Amino acid sequence: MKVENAKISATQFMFSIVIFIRSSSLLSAFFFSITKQDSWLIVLFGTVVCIPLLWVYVALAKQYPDKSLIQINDEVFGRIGGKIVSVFYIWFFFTLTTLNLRDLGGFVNKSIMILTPNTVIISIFIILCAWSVYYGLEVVTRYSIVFTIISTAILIVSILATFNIMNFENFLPIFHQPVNSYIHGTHIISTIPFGELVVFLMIAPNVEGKEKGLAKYFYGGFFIAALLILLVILRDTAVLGNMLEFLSLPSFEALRLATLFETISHIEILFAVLLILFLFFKISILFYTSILAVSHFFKIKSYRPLILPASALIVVYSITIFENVIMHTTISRGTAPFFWAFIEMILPFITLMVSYIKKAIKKAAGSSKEASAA
Amino acid sequence: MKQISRLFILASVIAAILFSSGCYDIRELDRVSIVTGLAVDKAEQPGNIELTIQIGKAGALGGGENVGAPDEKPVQLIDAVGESVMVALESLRNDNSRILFFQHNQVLIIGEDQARTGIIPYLDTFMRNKESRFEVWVLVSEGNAKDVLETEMELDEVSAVGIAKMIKNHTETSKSLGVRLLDFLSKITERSASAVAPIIKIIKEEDIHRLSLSGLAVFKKGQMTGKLTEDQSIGFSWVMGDLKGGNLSVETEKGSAQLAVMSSSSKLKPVFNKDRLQKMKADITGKFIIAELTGFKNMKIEQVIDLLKKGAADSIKKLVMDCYKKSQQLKSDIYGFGSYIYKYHAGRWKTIEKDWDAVFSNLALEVDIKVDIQDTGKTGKSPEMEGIR
Amino acid sequence: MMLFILFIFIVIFLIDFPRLIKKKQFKILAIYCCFYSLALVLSILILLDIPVTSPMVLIDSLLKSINLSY
Repeated sequence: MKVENAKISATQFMFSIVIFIRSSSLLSAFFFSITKQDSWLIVLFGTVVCIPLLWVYVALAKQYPDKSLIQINDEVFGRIGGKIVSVFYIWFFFTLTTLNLRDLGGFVNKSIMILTPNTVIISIFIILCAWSVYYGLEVVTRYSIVFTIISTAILIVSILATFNIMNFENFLPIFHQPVNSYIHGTHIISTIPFGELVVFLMIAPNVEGKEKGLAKYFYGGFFIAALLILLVILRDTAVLGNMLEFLSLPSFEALRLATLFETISHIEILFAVLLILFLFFKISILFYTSILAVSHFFKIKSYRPLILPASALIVVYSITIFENVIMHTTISRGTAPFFWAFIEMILPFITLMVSYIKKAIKKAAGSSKEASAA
Repeated sequence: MKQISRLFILASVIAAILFSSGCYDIRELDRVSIVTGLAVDKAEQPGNIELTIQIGKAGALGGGENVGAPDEKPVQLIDAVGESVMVALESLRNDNSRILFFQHNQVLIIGEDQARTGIIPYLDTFMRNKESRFEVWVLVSEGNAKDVLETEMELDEVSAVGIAKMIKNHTETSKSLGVRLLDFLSKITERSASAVAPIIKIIKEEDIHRLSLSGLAVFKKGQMTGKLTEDQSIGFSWVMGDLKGGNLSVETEKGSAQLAVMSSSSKLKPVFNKDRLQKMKADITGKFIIAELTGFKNMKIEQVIDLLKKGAADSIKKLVMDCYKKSQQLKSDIYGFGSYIYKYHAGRWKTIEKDWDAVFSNLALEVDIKVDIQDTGKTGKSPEMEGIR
Repeated sequence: MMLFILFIFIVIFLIDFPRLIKKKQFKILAIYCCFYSLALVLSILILLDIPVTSPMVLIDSLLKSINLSY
């Protein structure tokens, strides 16, 4: 049973991963305050930690090349068990959509449109995302390559523009934070932007030519994204120095200080535009996967009628999810990494293991049958 | 049917464009006051501050022809007293018919009295506020900060804009002579916990009042502890290694000279004797061009240059040590030696972190100066030198 | 405000609901109604200033009670 027959090319898939992770550079404040000038190390650690995780994802996608994550659950855990596991994922997808939407609202609120109410921004944005989701996966992912090129170009320009105010002493001393903070930071970065890649297991069955090279594109996208994030963090650290930990939008402030000439200065609006672009992309993907997950869950043919009530639900959910920004930050820093780790790392791992065991049992049963037949 | 619905969509789009154009919080120029400068002074009531806001009038800000009436003042000053910046701002908002617009604020001037009582709680507002920018210049005024904003400058009618330009010119000479809010906060929250800010003062000549930058104010943990004179602040720049303008006067037994500074650099190095900090070493290099020579009768240019090199090293050393002694006296590590040691020798920093102030005030500084005279200017000789009768 | 919200919900309702009825896709309709009523109830609760506990906060306190927190 297939709900969506859309096909996307493997390159689109790869660049979707890039943008998806890259859009989280907004959240760098989560770990800047924890690991300070060593944050760039955290990105490296996180990348290393996530390699086995990606292996699990790729192995799952290879095991069941035509099934999405929800359908895999049904297959692996049986009817009832699969539904229980899927409920976690669906809730997770919806929450991620909501959280990102809220981040976007908060960002626009803090930086560009100071007096516009958050809800208005969120509502307008979700309408836009709903529109793109209505036209399907192809439309959602089509612009990933262009976005990546634009964003990389802007990143390079911003690095050049801030080069004269960079101070490379800001990276010193290396490795002099308490050990705990490295673990904490790695945990955050490996669950909050990197581990969220689990949503791509919903899209993986729609990738063209996945039999040959899904792993290559999965890893490729991840490494490009990690590299870009690393560059962003290096730039922010070099520019802002010890003010990093005080700011809630480090990248924004870093670009604010950039001056090419007297006339070309304050290029922070570039960052704002870029970020809105990214978050549009990320929220569209998350929104798409959430609704797709629901439709796979109930085995219905079309997800489109669900778009409007789901977007209404997401807007409402985004208002109620946290009372304020402080709560958002403390929970994201404190307990969310653990819970996310459960959904992003442990659940897929269990799924993979169970599927392997099932396969082994089947094989054993098959061979014993053969033996008895002989 | 389809056509009608399309028409309907078109109509609604046009309606949306016409009626909901622009921003939710649109502010036209006639409804905002553009704040160009802020001044914080100590108020007469204890514990309160007096906040003065300079508002530039649109015509004066635009430059060019004077649009308003000729005798109209280009700026408007409003002030209020409150126990915090926000409280004062609030009462200013109530008194003003227009919305205050802070995005173009140029300078933040702190009155000396207030600076000496402490400014950290007031800086918090400027950090937190969404509208304020981190790149405003921070200054300390000798006397009342309000008076500085009141002073009219001849070329720049809006004095805050003029002050910003003055500092900008200063930073061309040496980057560490101009301090932006971000740098200031960064320095104060760093391990050394000391920062500097340029001092601005009003010079009264008969009936003309001029503004002038002179020296640096030294802050320690958000409290002004003392001042560096102009010469001392040049000494400070030498240690920071970012001086690239200005003149150095050199006196030798044979004559005197003015050397124009082309560039300079400085390398700091703490010297440890078995984990104990012994002294700081600063390797300073300066590159010069001869700007003026007097004396040096009957000498060859090579000899003159040798003499000048020695003399220049001596005068740099004097400037540097003068400033260093003053900062030790104030127990304020304005050079950031502390954060330097933390950055490069983090393990050892832990042992001295606690009594850094005491360590710093007894720390020896060894200065090693290399002088490089690159050019003699347009002429190789001087009228008094050998070869000219 | 209340009227405005209700208006939006009615518009959402009118866009998809009749079509679903016409096509007799009752399974989708059931899920649709679940989403729709959940959103409606939540938004009315927000409008009436009745605090809604979010699942994130519940999980947070749960994890904190078993000491899984930084």
